[in-house]
Amino acid sequence: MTNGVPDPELLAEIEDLRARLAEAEETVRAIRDGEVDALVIAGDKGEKVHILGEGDRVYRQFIETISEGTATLSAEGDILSCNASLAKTLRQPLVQLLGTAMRDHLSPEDREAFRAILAQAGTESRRRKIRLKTGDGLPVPVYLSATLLQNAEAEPVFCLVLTDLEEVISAEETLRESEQRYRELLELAPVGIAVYAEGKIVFINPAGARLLGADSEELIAGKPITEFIPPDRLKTAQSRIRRMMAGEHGLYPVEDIYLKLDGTPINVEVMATPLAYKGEPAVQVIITDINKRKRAEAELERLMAAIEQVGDIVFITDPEGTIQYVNPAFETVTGYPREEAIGRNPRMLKSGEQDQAFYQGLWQTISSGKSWHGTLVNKRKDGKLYAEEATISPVSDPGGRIVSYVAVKRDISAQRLMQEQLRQAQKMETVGRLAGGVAHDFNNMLQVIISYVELSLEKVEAGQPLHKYLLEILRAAHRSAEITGQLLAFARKQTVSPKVLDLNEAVAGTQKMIQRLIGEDIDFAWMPGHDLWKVKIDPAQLDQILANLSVNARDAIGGVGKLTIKTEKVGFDQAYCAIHAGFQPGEYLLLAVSDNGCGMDRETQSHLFEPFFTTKGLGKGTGLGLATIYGIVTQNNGFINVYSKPGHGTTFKVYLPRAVGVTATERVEAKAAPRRGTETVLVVEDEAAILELARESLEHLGYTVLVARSPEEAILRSGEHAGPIQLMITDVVMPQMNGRQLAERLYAERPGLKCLYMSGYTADVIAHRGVLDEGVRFIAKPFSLTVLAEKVREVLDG
Amino acid sequence: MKIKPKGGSIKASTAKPEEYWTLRLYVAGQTSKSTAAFDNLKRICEERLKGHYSIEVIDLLKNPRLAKDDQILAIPTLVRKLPPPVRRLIGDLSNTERVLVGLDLRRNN
Repeated sequence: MTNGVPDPELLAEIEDLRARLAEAEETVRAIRDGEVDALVIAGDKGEKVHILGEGDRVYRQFIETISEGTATLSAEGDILSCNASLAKTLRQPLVQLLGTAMRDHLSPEDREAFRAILAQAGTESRRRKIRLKTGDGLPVPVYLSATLLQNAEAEPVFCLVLTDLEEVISAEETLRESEQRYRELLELAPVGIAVYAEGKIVFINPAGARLLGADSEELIAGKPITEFIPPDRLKTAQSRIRRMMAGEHGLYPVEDIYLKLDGTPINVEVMATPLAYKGEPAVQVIITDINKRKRAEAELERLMAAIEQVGDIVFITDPEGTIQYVNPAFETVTGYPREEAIGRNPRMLKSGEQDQAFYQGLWQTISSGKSWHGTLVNKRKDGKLYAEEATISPVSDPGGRIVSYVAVKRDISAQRLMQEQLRQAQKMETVGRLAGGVAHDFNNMLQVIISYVELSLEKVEAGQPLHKYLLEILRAAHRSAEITGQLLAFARKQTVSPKVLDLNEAVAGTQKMIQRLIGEDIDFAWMPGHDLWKVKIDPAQLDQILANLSVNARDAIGGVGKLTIKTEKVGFDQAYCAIHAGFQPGEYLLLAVSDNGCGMDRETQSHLFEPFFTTKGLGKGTGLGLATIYGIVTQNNGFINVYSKPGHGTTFKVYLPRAVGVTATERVEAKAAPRRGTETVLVVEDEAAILELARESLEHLGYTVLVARSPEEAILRSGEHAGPIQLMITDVVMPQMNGRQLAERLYAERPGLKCLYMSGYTADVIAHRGVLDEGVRFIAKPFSLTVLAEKVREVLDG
Repeated sequence: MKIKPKGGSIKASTAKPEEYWTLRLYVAGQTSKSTAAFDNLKRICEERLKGHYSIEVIDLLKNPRLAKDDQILAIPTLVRKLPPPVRRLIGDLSNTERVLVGLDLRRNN
């Protein structure tokens, strides 16, 4: 700086600084005056723009988001700003629109109209339809409205709002189409659709009308819903509708009953949803006719109940044979519970009794679409085998494809057992008849032997050897008679003659027999009760009871053990019998036979008294022993019970009713000498030897004897004989006429005639239910002279 | 991003062929001041420079780096690139008098 003239470089620098200062001042001023709304701040990561005032950000955001197009135009009509929607409608990038004239984006023919809109913008904002010219040249109809924004500071600006009518139109079309579809759906829907509002059916579709029995919808629409709901259901229905109107969500389908126009009820399923109908709350219901379904359901229920209750096994498998259903009978018979059986294959029942070829045949039959029928042996869950009669059928769908197999089976084990038992019974019956016949003839022979021996004995001095021989013959004959007696018992041709007995005496009398039966290894204890009542029973039957029970006890012990028989008095009242099955009220004599043998399980006990049931090995028992006892006890109005546990022995308790009104005990006492008489006796017997024997025996005893070989002859003899005939002794079974018929015939002529029947066995002609009728006298062949003498006197004196 | 309006929408069609004005307006999106600045500028140019100008709008929100070129601090800022010398005006350009002075347009009239 040498003189006052400034250095030009310095001046330039000063000028530059001044300009920059002015610029800085200008910036500060602009910020202060609010003319700036964003600042650029340079930092490490480059420049960042910070917008100062964001008060209008919400509006800008709003403008950018709405689907309508917006633009601000300068007073001259240039685009100052616009949003993305407008750019989209015009199919041009937004930045290319800024600064361009709005009118250039309009269809030329609409430009005048646009000018008019802008001209009126200050006074009114009218919506006009205008066509835009898009970037790809296509006209787009829009609704355009404009407002003029004026303020003191800035130039006036036009604000435009454009609504793309193409979108609106397409939305309207979509709506129309969907309405059309909805209408078609309503018309064609197979279910009833109705709308309830204000207690009325305000709309119903054709299917709904048909469902309610109307030919057209008009007959239903407008009617109160109460016409279609049974009175007893009205309350529920109305409350349901109320809840729905109150805005509750749609209900699940409910089953209900509606009334048709003519009043007939129909089962319906109703599904309801709340709905606005013409702006008012309403309920739309979908009604399905479930009459058919209901009937089918009821049918199915009935069928199901039948299948569930039927005694036959029913099970269903899928085509592969996997079990899908079994009925209760299946569970009972096979022992497999339902849940165990389902999902398994029926081969779990295989017993091994049928070979592979059998099953192949079965499978081939059913898989070829045919039913299989036959019997097979299967195995229960517990391993026991059972026989069944089965029908297995395939079930096919309408296309002929097998969808499942149904097996219906019947357990025929019991049937087979019954058949077996029947066969056995028939066999026994045959054998019995044969044995009975033999025993009858045999008895006649024995009768002759016994009687002649007895006659002989009377003629031989007791000291002589011949007397001893004759006694031996007599003994042997009696033993033979016992055997025929047993044969007759077996054949059940035994006739019972109940007698009033002292039970203790009777049992004591069989002690020897019992001891012989049970052998030496078994200790026998006899414990008679005190002051027993009398009992009325055939002594032979009592013997049978004791013998059978003793033999069973012996077999149950099978070695060393103890058999106890005891007697006592017992009484049961109503209350006791009410809770003890099988007991009858009254006074009884108990005959208890106990052993400490192997005992029995419940299963065995339940079959104990069945005929032919036996636990003994083949040939060791007939299975009739306990059955016979049961029969005897029942015949005598008593009952029998068994108490047993496996390993704890068995007690049979036989209850025989107290004999009432009898005090004297009958004893069969052989008298020292045969009793004699002088009356006239007519003997009728077809067997000559017996007839002769009877004549001799009776004459020996002092009687006058008439003999006849047949009933005819007897009638003849009776007619010939002038004097009285006090007694007729007649065989029961004879050709032409039986003994009873003969007796009746002779009673007519000789009212005072007494009759004594004799027989090797008694058939029904003189015995009812095996018990002799009262007043009928009977002597069983073979009989001894003593017994004959006794019987004859008994009848004559009786 | 530079915005160069095409066609004659912003360019005026009348003469003064000896001087052509190139103006650059820096904005930040469509803030009210930016919009106002553009509006004002457009009006003034049409009055005074019809047919002799072009306006380039640069949105710094979209590309802040461009602020460096003209050392932009505040937005909106108008830069007169041509004719020289470079001049810059800050604010919404609502005060027309100040704009005319700042752009040296008063002299021309």
